[in-house]
Amino acid sequence: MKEKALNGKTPITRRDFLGGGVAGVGGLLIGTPLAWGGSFTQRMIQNSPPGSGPMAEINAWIHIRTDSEIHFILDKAEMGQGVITGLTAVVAEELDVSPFDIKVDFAPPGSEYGNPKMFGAQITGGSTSVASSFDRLRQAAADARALLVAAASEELKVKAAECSVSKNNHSYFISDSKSNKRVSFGDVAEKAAEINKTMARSLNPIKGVPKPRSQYKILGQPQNQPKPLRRYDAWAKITGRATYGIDVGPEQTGSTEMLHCAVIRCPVAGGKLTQFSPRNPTELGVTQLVPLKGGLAVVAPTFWEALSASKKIKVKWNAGALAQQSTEKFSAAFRNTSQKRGVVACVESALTSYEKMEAALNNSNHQIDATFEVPYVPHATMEPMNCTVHFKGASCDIWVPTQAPAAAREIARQITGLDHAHINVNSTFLGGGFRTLWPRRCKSLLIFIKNLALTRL
Amino acid sequence: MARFEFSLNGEPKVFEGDPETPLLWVIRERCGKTGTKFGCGMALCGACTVHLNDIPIRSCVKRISDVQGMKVKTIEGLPVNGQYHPIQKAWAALNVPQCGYCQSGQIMSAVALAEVMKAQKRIPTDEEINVAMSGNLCRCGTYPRIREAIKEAVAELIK
Repeated sequence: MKEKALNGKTPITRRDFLGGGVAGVGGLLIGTPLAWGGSFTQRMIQNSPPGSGPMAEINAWIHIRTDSEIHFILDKAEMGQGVITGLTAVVAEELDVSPFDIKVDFAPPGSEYGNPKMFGAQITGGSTSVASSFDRLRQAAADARALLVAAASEELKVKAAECSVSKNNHSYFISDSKSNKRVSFGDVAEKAAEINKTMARSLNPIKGVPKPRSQYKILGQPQNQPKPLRRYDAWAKITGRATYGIDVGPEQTGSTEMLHCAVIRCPVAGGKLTQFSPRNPTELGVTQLVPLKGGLAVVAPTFWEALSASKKIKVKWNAGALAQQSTEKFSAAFRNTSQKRGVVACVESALTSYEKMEAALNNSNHQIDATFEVPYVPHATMEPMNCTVHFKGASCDIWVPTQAPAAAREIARQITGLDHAHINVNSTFLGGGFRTLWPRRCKSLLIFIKNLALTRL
Repeated sequence: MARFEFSLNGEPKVFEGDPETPLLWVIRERCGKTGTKFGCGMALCGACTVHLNDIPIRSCVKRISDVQGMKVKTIEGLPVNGQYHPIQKAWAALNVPQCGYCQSGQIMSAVALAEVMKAQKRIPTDEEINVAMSGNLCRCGTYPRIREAIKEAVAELIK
């Protein structure tokens, strides 16, 4: 941590506290599928067999297959906070379907998916998911429903006002109340998508009207639900079927030929690799050794081979300036700072009230003077940092558990020189978040992957 | 190249390779079963917990050479005749998982405890649950629901 002038005008921010950082140590897993077969579709996280028929994109969030399978494109990361359950319920409410009849896909990077509470960037964080998505998803789902109704009324030659959603087992229809005629969601999905495309030029675009809260059957209505409302992803996680980044394999990549990598990292942030031995990968029984700025990547056919080989390598570092930092020094700096007069760590608005606070303390009969110290918390996730990349020269596929998939794509653009259209970022479940599953952590991995692919090709 | 035989969820398996290879990586990389998770690789977090001859162990530090001729069960092997284990049912009923990464390991440890309690025909105390589950860490903090779910499942098992 760098010392700052503590004159009351530059309070220590959380950023400064975190700036020094804790050195990353440990294994990173990188997959490079070397062969490629078949096309990858956004992985569905429910375990039922995939639907059939083409997918009609009603709008950015609601896609419906011609066999009536309903997909919700979730543009927030599920890292345990339950957003997959909450936001699917919002969509289900407006579509008049059960949340459990919706299949959820994790969204790719997309301009529609920016988070207005996160500077418009596609980021999951800061407890903003429901707040930023609630109105937008209500509108998107209500629009989708209105488009399905419009398409159905054309198809059935009935009035849209007489149409509503009806359900038979797990299938959904738009039904006309007068004639009792009906069409399935899938029957009119493509037409609804077409209407949405053409109505951009229309003077009277079809807009859905979100329900008033008094008509809610799901949101805030625990009496209508199995008690308590089941987490959408509970069964996937109880049966071991949920796919995290680290689980990405042949099923997702379409390839059984994949290399794995463990990275030996300098124990001090910012440190540099100076020497390592042995330098010959075959001596270690691995595929390749790739020196990185702050580490050494050990590449092998399986992660275990890469990890076990990495333990046999002798590495020398130039640890750099931060090597002198320690927990004791942090603690001493904090204690020292806490003894200074004035505001030393607070939010900006508190500065103005410091004088008042001091006056109030001086006038008080009862003052408490205590020191509280908490350990420096590494925001380590249970799931180790990982990223799977298939760099193919003209395009690049990435699977990564991340809170910011669009940022991952941008990093990949900068490193590979490919444009966004040729970089596919696939999100997975996150084994924790805590802001650590952040794509900048993928940066060195991407640099290395590109080098590796170039070396190999 | 050494050769080892064991059963995984009732299926016979043969592994040929380094005898030092941990069971976890044989399960994940050779057998393709990814329900068992890699967390720390040092038997500290419990995410890799599986049953070895019905005893919960940390598969990340169990050498494949020590598994010769033994029975391995993972989260994928819990259902019997298509029926999920009462622990899994209680887990779903009480919405236990959050991020879920530790949950396969938590469930494997809980199932082992539940089976012991079934034999003893009694519900474990909080202290007994704490002891049995102490090797399984959860970063989301699902512990209170884990405890509740274990009691509910055992009550069902001894009914």
